[in-house]
Amino acid sequence: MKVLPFSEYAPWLVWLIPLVGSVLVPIVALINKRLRDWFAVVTSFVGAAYSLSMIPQVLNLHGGVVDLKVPWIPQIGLQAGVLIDSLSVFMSIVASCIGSLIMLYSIGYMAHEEGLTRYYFFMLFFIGGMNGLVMADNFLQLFIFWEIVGLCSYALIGFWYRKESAARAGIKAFIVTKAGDVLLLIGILMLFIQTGSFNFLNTKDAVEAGKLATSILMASSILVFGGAVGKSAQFPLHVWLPDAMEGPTTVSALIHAATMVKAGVYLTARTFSIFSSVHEWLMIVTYIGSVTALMTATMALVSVDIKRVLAYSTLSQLGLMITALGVGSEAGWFASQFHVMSHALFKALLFLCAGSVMHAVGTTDMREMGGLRRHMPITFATSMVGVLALSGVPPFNGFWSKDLIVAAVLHERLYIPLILIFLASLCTAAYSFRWLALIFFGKEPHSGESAHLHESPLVMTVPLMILAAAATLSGFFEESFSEYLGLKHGVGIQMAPLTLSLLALLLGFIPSYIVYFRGSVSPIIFRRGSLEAIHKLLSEGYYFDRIYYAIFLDGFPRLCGWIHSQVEDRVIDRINYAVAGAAQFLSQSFRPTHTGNLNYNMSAVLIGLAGFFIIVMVLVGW
Amino acid sequence: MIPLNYYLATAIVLYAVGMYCLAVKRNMIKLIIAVEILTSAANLNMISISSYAKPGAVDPLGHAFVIMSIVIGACVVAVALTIAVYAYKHYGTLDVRELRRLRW
Repeated sequence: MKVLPFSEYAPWLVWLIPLVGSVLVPIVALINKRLRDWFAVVTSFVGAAYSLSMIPQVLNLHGGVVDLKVPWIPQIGLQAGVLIDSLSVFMSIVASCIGSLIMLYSIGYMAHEEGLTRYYFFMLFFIGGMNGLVMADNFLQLFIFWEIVGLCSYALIGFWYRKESAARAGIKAFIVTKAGDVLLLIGILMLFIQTGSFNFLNTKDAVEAGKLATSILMASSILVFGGAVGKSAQFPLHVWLPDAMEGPTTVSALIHAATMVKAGVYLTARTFSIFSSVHEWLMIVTYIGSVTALMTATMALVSVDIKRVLAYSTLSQLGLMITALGVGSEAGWFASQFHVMSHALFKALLFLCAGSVMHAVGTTDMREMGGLRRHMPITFATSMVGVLALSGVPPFNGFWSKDLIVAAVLHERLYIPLILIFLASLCTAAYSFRWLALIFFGKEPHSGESAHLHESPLVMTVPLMILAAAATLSGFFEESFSEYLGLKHGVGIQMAPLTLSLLALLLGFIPSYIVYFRGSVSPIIFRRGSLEAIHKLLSEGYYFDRIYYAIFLDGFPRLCGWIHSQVEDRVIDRINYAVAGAAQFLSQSFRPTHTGNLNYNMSAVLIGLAGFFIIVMVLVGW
Repeated sequence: MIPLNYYLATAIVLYAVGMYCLAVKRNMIKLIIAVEILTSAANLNMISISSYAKPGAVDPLGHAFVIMSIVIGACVVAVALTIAVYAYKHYGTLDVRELRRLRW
């Protein structure tokens, strides 16, 4: 194997550079504020260059794997290492390239914010953590970076910590994902106890050699997937992602497109080769993915917040990726990875467009927008590309990857997930065109303010244009992507999935066109009569938040309060009070004898002495 | 030679005098004198028993202890008198019943 000299240290540098750079950010900030911003951007671009430099190395591997190890804690035989294969390098490229474009965009978008040293520190740390996560060659290292990513998401979602809702959203994201993390840790430890190694390759060998009992393997595979459910915000732990919109838009873009939520998909894809023999695991993965895809797509239909629609759509698209992984075939695995790339491009694009719009109008409520296409031509054009890609219009990249997912599901004859993702694609088309129409078409609600509307600066529009071009073109590289991943899977358009995708697109687009573009039917009819209940159900997110809040925020403290009043106050405290009261009573009853008068005391000594003599005399026998 | 019992009886008398004094008197100086009488009763007791321990010989250990006891007794008196002086300065009286601030 020929290793290019440039790439030899690249698997390490790709995550060490952003991590070390992030620590340097506060130091550079002491010199100059502008220097700090550009330092962070340049650092992320250097990391991206290193991740791109690994491509030739991976192409030389032809689907093979290189595992570079160094001693970590030799006393217990623990080794740190990086795993270079097509999957890890691909994920690292997604994280660092899109991450660095978002960093560039931040220079314009976050220009007038306070606390930017914190912002750039955590953004770089986030990118570095994600790169470390995907390059790790063992579960333990992965888990450490997994937690770093979780910490950064908490800090960045709660970036505007003076706003109570933002601080709460940060905590919510942290705690909900932590529920998954605990499952993941238990799963990792179960595997470690059984196989004696954290390493992915060793674990895979052990599983293939049949060293693990079936029940243990099943339990640990489901627990590890639980971690992915938390991080990738799948049902039923999806509640944190819509609230994560409280953070700056760049953070949302980073979380949705490049780093945080892709970690769960990555973990599932990475452990796919280990667990794919477990039939139950595949079933759970498919059903959780497809249920999430449909449920969250319907929630996006009724949301009026410009970013929440995108958040729900991310959930839905992640559901599609997870579904494709659960199909259990190589085609499904490939479709999911291809969709990761498509989604990373168009979702980063859509979020940055939303940021550009919010930058101009200063609100997130889509009902207060409209007719922006004349004022922001570049943002409009790029958003258009993003929406077309998201809804799966050919020839944009979303079409190709969704088609592959549908084909993979159809090929394995999983009809229930197929119906779910068909309906999800239908809703996707409907809400994405609704999103576009509400923002860029129609009348301007406040005609007086339109004079202030302006296109965003170049530092913000350049990343938009790069991403739009990539979203338009990347779909055509399906074949070379398949070759890059080292798969023998033949790609091509098949008739049945193509018909299904286009049918879903059309059925979703028509109502959206009638209601929002033509305006011939008022959207108010969706909130009338029997539809009102459905509208309420959807806009409350199927009451998941309410239920979780009722159980964990109200119910649990109430239970604790009841236990406190019943056990702590009534039993434990009473015992303490009884002991203290008895001691006090005893001392009080002896108190009158303690006069403090020396003469009395000495008299008592005399009496005692006399008593002593009497006792001695009696004993001696006088 | 005077029998040992005479010495012991004298010691008991001295002890009784000291105890009586401690139990009845309220003047601090008198109390200190009472403590000294008690100490000399103990010293007398010890030295007489050590002298009669073996026939025709004296046990030097008892003597050594008594000398040490006298020296320490002198120190105790010095400290006690100092306390008495300060108590007098503070309360304006030597009545020991006034020193009851710690009793609540």
